[in-house]
Order: sequence, then C-alpha cells, then structure tokens
Amino acid sequence: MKKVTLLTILAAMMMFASFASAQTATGTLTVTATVNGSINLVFNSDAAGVALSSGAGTNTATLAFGNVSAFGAVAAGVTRTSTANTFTVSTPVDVLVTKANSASANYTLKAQLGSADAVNTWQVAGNTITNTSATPITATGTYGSNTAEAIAITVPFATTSGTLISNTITFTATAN
Amino acid sequence: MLIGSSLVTGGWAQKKRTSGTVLNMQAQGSGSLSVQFVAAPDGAALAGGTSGQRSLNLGSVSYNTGSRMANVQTRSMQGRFVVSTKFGLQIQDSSRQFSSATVLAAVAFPSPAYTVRLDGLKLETIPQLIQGQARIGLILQHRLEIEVPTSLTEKNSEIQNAIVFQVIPN
Repeated sequence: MKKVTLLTILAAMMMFASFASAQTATGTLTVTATVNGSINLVFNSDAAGVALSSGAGTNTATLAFGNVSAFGAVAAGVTRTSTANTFTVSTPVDVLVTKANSASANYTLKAQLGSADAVNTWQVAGNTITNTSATPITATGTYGSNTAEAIAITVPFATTSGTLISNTITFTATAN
Repeated sequence: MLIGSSLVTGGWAQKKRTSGTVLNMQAQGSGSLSVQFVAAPDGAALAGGTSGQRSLNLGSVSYNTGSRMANVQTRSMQGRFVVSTKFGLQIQDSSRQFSSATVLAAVAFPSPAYTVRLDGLKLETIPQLIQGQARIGLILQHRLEIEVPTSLTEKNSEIQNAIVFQVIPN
C-alpha cells in the first residue's frame, strides 16, 4: 500500500513537473473599432406608378415619364391634371430609408432640384422644389418601409411639342 | 493507461537524471518560445506595444459606408455586417527545440453585443484550438472578423477586446 501511494505521489509529481516544464508563450492582440450609426436611401418602383427605367434599389435611379401631353392618352402609372394653361403629370416613386446601428426614431427627408427650371414647376409630394435650397418633404419618415413620393411636373401649354424636359432631384434623408 | 504508464516511466527517468530537469527549467525560465504579431501585407496596420502585445485598430466602421481604413473590409448582410482584416502571427523558438506548436486563442472579455471570429472560428473566453501544427518560424496569416448586428446602437458602439493567443510546443 505504501509503495502504491509512493508511486501515486511520484506520478503526480511527474505530471506537475511535466506541466511545469512545458514551455508556452502567449501573445495579446488588442482589437478596437468604432461602430458608427448610418442610414441609407434607395429608390424603388412604386406599384401604382411608372417603373423606374434604371437604378431601382439603388440611390441613383432614372424615372422616365415618356411622352406627355395636355390632352390625349397618358401612360400607365401617370396621373394628369390640367388648368387653363398648364398640365401636370405625376407618378409615385418609392423612397426607402433604412438605418443601422442607430437609435434614431425617424428621419427628415428633403428634396432639391438639380438645376433651375424657369418654365416648368417640379413638385415632390405636393411640395414645390427648386435648385436654390432643399425643400422639406417629411419631418418624421419611417425607417424600413417604402414611402410613395409623388413626383410631379407642371408644363405650360405654351411649351413647344417635342421639348425634352429633364432634371435631377436630390433627396436627402437625415436621421432625427 | 498508456499515458499513465509513460508518466510514471518519465518520472523515474527524470528523477534519475536530475541535471536534465534543471536544464528544462532553465529553458523555461529563459522563455525560448515567443509570439510575435506582424502586419499582413493586405492587413490593417498594427500599433504599439511589444511584438507579442500589439494593437489592431479597425477605425470607424458602419453598415452603409463600410470602412475608410486601408485593408479593412466590411461585408453587409441582412441585419448585420462583418468587419475583417488580416494579421500575421509568428512563433519563434530561440532554443530551436521545436518545429511546430499548437495555437489556442480566446477573447479576453465576453462580447455578447458582437462576435469575434478568427479564421472563421467564433472566439469565446475559453481558449480554442486555432492551429494544431503551426510551423515555428513562419509567419502565418490569420483572418480576424468582427460581426456587428445592426441593432447595436451608438450607446454601445465602441468595440474593444483583446485576443489572447497561447502557443504550446508540440
């Protein structure tokens, strides 16, 4: 019994010696990063409107109304209203703003025309926009859901047939 | 049983060769094995500290704009994004006793808000096997990934942790 005990102790001592003599090395790599909150805006075709001709799902899209006129047929997805000397064509475009790593509850959306248009009037969601400053469209936009924004152009009857109307609208979403 | 037998035999042998034991202890005391972090050619820069204690700052990262830091990549997915870079780890043995080593790694602190992966393996506070036969002397590249959920907000946006590597000679 004594011999067994001695052997056990020796074995235990050897195990300790074995661990103690095992050479190990350690290295520590400190890792740091700062996560910034961010929001993203993309355009999508609205089911009730003219399909975006390019860039759906991105933040650079093209909306082509096609041929428009004061009278006669309008394309699918285009709504037309008229006054005594102008007509307005309108179609909805979906604006989708998403957030990541942000506690922001909602966002402000503004729109600005790219270049001056002295002839035609441009509107987004009923708000006239110009190139001089960004016009508030919504103050409490909801993240993560497509919001239909009506894009409208009011054209005078005096406009010569075949005139190309083109401009850009810059939408800016700001987290509240 | 085989292991137990080997230990007992070794114990007797060691007891008989006292000088051998002393030599081993001296080798341990001199710390022949060492770990060195080196920047990977396509990895983020390492900063500060000694070669075995370096810092890797991945800078500002976001889901939508990614990273502006050189050699730091981001990949955005539904509900999360992954920040990644590479770095090199070199094990050196000044005594030239060993040719390979086992590499274990763990994060220093639990990180429930984000996930740290090394070569695809999720790191915990308990050391995990990264490489069983790491060649000593070679610089081995490792890929560090931090997965950040988009639900992580500005309130807890500072990611700070440390990866502790343990190297055991084979």
